[in-house]
Amino acid sequence: MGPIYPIWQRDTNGDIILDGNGDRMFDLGGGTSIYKWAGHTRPYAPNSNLMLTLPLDERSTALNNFSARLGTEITFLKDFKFRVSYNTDLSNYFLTIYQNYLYADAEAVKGRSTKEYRKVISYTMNEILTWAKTLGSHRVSLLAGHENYEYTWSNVYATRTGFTIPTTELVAASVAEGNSSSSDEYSIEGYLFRGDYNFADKYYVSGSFRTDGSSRFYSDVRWGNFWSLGGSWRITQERFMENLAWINDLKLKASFGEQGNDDIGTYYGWQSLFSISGRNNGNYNGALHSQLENKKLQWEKNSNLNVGLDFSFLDRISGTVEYFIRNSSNLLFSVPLPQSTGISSNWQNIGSMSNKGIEATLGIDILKGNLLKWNLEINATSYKNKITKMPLGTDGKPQEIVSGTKKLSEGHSIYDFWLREFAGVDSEDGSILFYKDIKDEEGEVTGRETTKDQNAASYYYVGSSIPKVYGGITNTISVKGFELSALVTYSLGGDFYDSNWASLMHTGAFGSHWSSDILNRWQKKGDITDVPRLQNNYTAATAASSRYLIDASYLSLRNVTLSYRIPVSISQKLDMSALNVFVSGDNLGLLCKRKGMDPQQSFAGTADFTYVPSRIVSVGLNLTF
Amino acid sequence: MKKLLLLNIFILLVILAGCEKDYLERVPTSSLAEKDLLSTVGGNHTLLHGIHRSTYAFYSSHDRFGQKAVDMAVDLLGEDYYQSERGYGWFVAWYQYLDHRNINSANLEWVWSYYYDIIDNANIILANIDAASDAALKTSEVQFIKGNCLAYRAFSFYQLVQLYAQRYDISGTNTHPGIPIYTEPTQEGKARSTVAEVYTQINKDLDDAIELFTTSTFSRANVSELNLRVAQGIRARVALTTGQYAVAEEMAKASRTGHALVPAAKYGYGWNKADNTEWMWGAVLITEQQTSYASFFSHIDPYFGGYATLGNHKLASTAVYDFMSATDERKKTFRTIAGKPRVGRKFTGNGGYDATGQSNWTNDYLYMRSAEMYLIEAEAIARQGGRDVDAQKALFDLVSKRDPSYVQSILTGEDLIQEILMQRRCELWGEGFRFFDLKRLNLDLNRENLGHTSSLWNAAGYFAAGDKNFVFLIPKQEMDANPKMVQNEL
Repeated sequence: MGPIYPIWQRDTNGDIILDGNGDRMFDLGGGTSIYKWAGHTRPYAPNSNLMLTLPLDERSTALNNFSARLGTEITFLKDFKFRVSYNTDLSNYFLTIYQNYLYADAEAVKGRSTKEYRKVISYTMNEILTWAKTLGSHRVSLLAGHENYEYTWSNVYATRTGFTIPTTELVAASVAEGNSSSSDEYSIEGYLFRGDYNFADKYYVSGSFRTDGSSRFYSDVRWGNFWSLGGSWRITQERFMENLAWINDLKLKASFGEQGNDDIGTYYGWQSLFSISGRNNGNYNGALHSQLENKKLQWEKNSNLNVGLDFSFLDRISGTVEYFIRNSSNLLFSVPLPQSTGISSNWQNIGSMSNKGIEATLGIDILKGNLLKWNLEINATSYKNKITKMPLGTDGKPQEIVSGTKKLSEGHSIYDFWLREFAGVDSEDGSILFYKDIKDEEGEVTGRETTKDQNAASYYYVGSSIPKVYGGITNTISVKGFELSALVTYSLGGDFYDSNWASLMHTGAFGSHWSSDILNRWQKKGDITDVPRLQNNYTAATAASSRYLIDASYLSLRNVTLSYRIPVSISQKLDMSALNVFVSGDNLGLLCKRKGMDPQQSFAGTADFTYVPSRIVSVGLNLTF
Repeated sequence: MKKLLLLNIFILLVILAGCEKDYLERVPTSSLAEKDLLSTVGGNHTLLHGIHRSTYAFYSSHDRFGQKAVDMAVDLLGEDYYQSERGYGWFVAWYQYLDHRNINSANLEWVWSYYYDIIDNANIILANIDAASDAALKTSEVQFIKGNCLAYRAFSFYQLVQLYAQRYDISGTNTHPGIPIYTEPTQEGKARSTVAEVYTQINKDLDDAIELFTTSTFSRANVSELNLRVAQGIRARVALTTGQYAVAEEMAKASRTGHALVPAAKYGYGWNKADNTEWMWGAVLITEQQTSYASFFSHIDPYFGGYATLGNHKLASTAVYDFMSATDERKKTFRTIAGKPRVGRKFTGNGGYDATGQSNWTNDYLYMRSAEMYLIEAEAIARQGGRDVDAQKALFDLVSKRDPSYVQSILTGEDLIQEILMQRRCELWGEGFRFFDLKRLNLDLNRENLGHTSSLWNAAGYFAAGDKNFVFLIPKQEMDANPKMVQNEL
């Protein structure tokens, strides 16, 4: 709600109206209570006033967390170890949502109170057997284990209305408005094997295999097998390196590993289900189709091939360079189905994609004096994403799936935006313009033109949310006992769909906020601007398009810390081994294309109404005894 | 001792860790698996009750509450029913002809999915019920449930084809695009059938439903369930649309059997309680299932404390209001409220108040009543020609129960038809017919000089008959996910 609406009722002179007791009268902007305002209805959120209702309402959650970690280990036959552990987490939530019985939303039903109790329990159990042996320069270790995890969620809630006394307790309310209970369960089980071999701290080889079953998939396809293999060679350990003393460390490493993903936002993705929640017809039990069956739904497999070099030389410079290929197959995706078939989406394994890129870290001790030290650390990542396979449609061609601001199709990235393309504003009448394909009689595209109709606009691949390169830079400078460090993160390239800004560029809704960019709106013939005319309910003007795609590059000052280590001579007198004082600031600044936008929010390059990370300044003291 | 304790814990843990065979079999408790639900007739009936509930459920926005939300949109797309101010903004985009002409509109997509969800669930029952373990023992209930599903499917196709396609032309071939027809559960999108094919399917489903209901001796739980009379009523509506006037007359007459009109004195009692002989089909709500602000009564009842009270009063056009005589009980349901003339109180009336003078929040939803059947009968007879006296009589039977001073009409021919149509606008105001009638009768939409606030209707003050704006666009979700779908004229 815009800040233009008054808290208090005012007369024609602008003076606050008082009630019989001389108290100021709230302005509820409508409704039937004594605070309604002379028959006038506020067009935005009528019959509400937070100043009045906040102290009378209640929205509270009481949360209890309990965790237990239990384990025992047995060593036997010299080289064997058997470890069993049991970890459990238990959370209870008790929620109250109470709307008072005197004013505002629940006034007409004389107050509404909801109480909800939620219980969440999870446990993990591990049984791990290991064998380790050293024979001269050979070191071998083997591991076999079993683990299982179970998660249960349950709740019960009730809502009642009809209060005459100020309490939130349900017993006092006369009408049962609703009550319900539900529960969810999820479990996984896995067997794992792992082996490590090392010769003379020079050559390392390791391999692993695991098989996991998830309750999210049908029993025939529930188990997924995943393996990994890795090796590294510490070149500096070789004899031929002995003469190259300026090289401190050099290690070549390569690995391949697979991981499974079953995270599909529903615990029962494979089953055909009928919802019974909120489906009763009066006093008769009801149910409604809520999910389609997919007995073939299985683990998504993510593999990672990594080749890299760790180096350190001249006692000053160290770092890592890695090339990676991350392939995903059997991608899990909620595939949109035609709404006319009833259920509008179901979970499927839809194809494969690859991410190829380079990741590098470099650390330099620029100054290493006794008095002054300066260390610089830089890391950077750059990669490309490509969908390599999509399932074939009924026409025999690879399917294309439109979902939100994206379209998945072979050869494109899952991060490529698929949107109408904004073509500016018509200076004649202030209409928004989009591009539209011109097609010949065979349906072939022969060119394009602009259109004012958002329904007729064509969709195009316009930009991608993947940055060209991203990473962080840390500078650490120390002088005597003082140390100053600063972390800056950066991202270059890529686009961000700023739906928050889009929602502030609406065509007029009473009492809502506007972005100050709306001042640039088209107003008269000949105006050159990129903001269309303001016209209530002008739907084309707010249609999703590349108009809201903004360069996502940013530079963020994530952390600055200044600390001082009190000389040992003093701390020792205080019986302490160390004494540090520090000042630290987090999220101190963000530079990006548009003020108010936070492109750090999501990798898919879309905004939601999450809060920007809070700026935290802390002052502290570290004591070590 | 200590060692022993440790050993005990250890053994305990090993025992606990052993996974049982069904460790990875998990089902939710707020859903049922297909095999558990559909294996009995009772389970299928549970699914049918779910369909009934879907007609008055809340769909995540305060202007989407099932059948009555569609009815409200259908009225707001006409000229007899309007809001004089923007108020809280609900339904304004319908009134302005924006919601159904914007492929991204969530409301446009909702109407489409609302009916196709009903069709999907009906198809699931039809595909499974014969295989239910106790189907042979409960033949009468099976017939009743199947009759419900077929009638629901027909009704849904009928609503969809009237909204998402160009009008049915009584004298034409109707080979223009209709809507996709689904008669069994599937995940694969279908192409649009022609309008003629859609009506063939509708009539087949209704004929089958009527046959099943005629055979079945099962009695419905309450008016939320469809029965023989409701199926006949839908058939009468469809026949009027397609110009099968003899069928319309026969079905309208048959369908109102047992549903006597309420006397004039009771008309203003309020169309919000199902304990009314006129009600053929509706929904009986209980407090736990009413949807508060997101309900039909919130948007239409000026005393409810909902959106209507907060400014979105629903007004009658002067055309409807002025047509009724001063002694007409229907006219008395309109009154000046909050400075606005002709505010509809039809759905509140005296029956809607509790002791405090405010309306109840739990009210029943009306989908079909016998008064409509008198109007269909009168119009169908008049259009068949040669029996104007019978048409006058059918009209008199209804209107005399509304206006005690009403004298049987002596008009004939087209004049009589026009009177019937005006009575239809007065009687069925606010019940979701006007936009369908505009299309059925191929009329212009003309909101000029009827009391509307012209600044509020945006570009939708006048559309000539047959204008593309009378056709809903296909929602973008369907266009994207169904390669066979073809869009309407933009």
